[in-house]
Amino acid sequence: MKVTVKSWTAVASWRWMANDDNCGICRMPFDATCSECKLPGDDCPLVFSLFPHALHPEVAELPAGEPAVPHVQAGVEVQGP
Amino acid sequence: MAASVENLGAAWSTVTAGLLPCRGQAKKPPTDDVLKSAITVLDQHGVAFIIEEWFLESMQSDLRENIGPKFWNHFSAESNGPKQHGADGTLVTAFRELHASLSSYLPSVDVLERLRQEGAKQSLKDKVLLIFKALLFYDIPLKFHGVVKEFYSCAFKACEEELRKNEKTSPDEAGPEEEEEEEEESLTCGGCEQEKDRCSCTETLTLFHQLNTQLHSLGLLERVCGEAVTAIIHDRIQQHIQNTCQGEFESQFLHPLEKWLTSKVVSWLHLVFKGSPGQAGEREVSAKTQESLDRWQTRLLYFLYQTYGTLRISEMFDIIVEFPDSMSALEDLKVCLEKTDLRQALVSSLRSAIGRRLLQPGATTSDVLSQYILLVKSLRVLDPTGVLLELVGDRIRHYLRTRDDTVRKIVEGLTEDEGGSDLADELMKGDPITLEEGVEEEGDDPWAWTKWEPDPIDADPSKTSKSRRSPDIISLLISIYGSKELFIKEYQSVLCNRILSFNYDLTRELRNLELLKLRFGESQLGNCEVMLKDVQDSKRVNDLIKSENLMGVAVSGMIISAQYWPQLKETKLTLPPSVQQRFDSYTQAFQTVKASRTLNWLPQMGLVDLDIELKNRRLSVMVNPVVATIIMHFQDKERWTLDELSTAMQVPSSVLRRRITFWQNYGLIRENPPGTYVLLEEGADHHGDVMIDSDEETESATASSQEMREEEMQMFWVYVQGMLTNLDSLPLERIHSMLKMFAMRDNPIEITLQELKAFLDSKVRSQHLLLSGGKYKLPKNR
Repeated sequence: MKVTVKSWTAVASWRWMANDDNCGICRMPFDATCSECKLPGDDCPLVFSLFPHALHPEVAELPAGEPAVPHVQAGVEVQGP
Repeated sequence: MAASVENLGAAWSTVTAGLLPCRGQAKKPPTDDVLKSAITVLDQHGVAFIIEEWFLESMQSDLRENIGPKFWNHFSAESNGPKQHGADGTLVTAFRELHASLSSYLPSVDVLERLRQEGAKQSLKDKVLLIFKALLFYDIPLKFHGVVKEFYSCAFKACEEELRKNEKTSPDEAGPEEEEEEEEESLTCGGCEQEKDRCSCTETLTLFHQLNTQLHSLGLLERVCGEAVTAIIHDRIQQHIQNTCQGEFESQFLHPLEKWLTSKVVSWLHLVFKGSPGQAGEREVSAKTQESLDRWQTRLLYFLYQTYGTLRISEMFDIIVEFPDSMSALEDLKVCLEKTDLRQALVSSLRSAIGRRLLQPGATTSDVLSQYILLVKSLRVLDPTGVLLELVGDRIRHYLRTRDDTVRKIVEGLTEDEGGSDLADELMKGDPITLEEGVEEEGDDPWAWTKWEPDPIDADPSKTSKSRRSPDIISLLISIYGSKELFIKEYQSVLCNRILSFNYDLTRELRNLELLKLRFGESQLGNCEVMLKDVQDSKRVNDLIKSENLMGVAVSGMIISAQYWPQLKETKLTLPPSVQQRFDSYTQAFQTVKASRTLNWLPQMGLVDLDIELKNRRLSVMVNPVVATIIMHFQDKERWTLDELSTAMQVPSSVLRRRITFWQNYGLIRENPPGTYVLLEEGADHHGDVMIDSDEETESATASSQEMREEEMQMFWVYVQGMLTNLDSLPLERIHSMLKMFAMRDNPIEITLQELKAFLDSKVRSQHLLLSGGKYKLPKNR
């Protein structure tokens, strides 16, 4: 007997390869959106550079001139590495 | 003096002899002149006034003693004799005699009338007729009615038959040949149910006219035959309506019926009361009789409406089933409801019909739903205010609430293939009202109030009439449960199932989503939007991965944003290494395309297109991954035990056993001995190329709501255990309020007091809890 797979349609869920599950600021899951986006994924990409933690984009957008991290840090406890 | 007394005596005897009917004597009554002179003599002596009184008195005693008993004797005597046909029976004889004896009084009445002083209040004739009626008919034996009715129904049949004959012959001046044909049709006459040559119809009709004339002249016509005629006509109307209209919903009957009533029935009525037109029997009708005839006609019309309405009401359920075709019947019934007081009957009969025929365990939910939709539509025709619907539909709504799959059926109905369901059509209708707004305002017409109409009398006063008028079936259905969240959740799960079983049409789903958005609002359907976007994105990613030739295999992914999908069932499945390898390379390709994102595969879901080559046949099938994996394992080894397979695939053996039947059905695998499965290379080719077996249950991809609820309950159980360990024993209310405080605060999950009670009681039953004195506590030995 020979079985040939012509096509295999499979189901997968995507997730961000981040070091946490929730955004450090808005506490929403990364795989969902931040408070201002409607569609997850490409339309609401994570911001990785600011912080030890990844962030949702809108909450990471800070007013110009402000020191980036300390401002957001006010209410958030930094954990992890 | 003596002479005058003698004179007086002579005059008196002349008068008495002249006025009283001379029965059995061949004496000629005195002429007017003689009577007149005699009366003048009496008048001169001042005793003329007693003539009238004496006349009435003697007539009354005659009626009481002779005429009355003799007349009624006919009917009591008949009770012993053989039953005779009314037409030639006692009735005619009796009335002929009665007429003869009574009418003998009438000439004298005329004479007296002429002699009477002017200015009398009541005409003597009326008075006499009244006395006839009063003395003869104060006590009617039961039998009499029967005899009268029989006679009149015979006459009615004969009359109808005659009319029919006239109708048949008159249009084309039927020749003798046609008559012969008719005779061949039936040998009996429709009128008297006797053989044609012995037909007594004409005879009956003659007698009938004769009797009517006699009764009329005595003023007894209405008294004697009114009841019988009404009963006959009512019977006839009922019969006619039954024959012509029963089960026929596709044409309107009211006009033909009215026409029939005026042409046939009323003409007969006229025949009774006015005599046959154009013949000697025709009588002038007094204004009073005419008036009562008119009234009679109105009553009959009412009766017609009522009978017709009652018939339609008893058939209402079928009318609703055939709804768009039974429009005519509904319009008829609407007219009937306006003219009669049958509303209440309609409500109660329809309610019981629905209970009897629809709200049964045997009826599927979709049947109930579609019947409800038809009910809504058809009752809207009858009553645009919606009160009837409220009264009748309530029952179905309550019932639907008790069925588990109502919501799912409604949602499925809403999104079914076009043309397939009423609900989908309803959704397509433009100008939907979003549910928040309710019914739109009536517009700014300042004259709108002139069109105001009060609600029907059976309306529920606690509701506004506007709320009932909402013309939207979907809103009505959704309001069965009172919340739209439930529907949206269900829609999401239906959509999820459809996508994950790869049985969907993206454009249609998108259109449905847009239509639903119009109705439920955008924000509510955000998740579903993401779901459909995932589908589109997956296609794009697949194309990208294929076009860049990042992997040479035919794996295509359906990549979902897990947060936005209903919770999916997590079951394990170890794929064959060759497939797993492809999955891994797909994941890598995905990571290249979408930076810093990766994939979690749900291996048990999907659709596999397989080609299987055996020694003597070829199969091409579309199967579920578990089924595909099974057959791929048989590629390497021809004999597997259930346990081995279960270990290799990491699938519980119960599931495996069920899945493997798919291949057993194809004749590819045989279980021999039990628990061991063997591949059959050379099976009988009795299936050939078959697509997925339609019998195979398509399993719901989402965790069922019950399972999810159980999971939630498990969470509460942890809290409850904690509470009871610390506080020993607690009453139900306390547990509930504490759960509210701690468990529900940052959880969207709610639990009602009743649910909690049921849950805790089930724990008591399984001996995880004790209930004593209204307080729950944990068993000591734990």
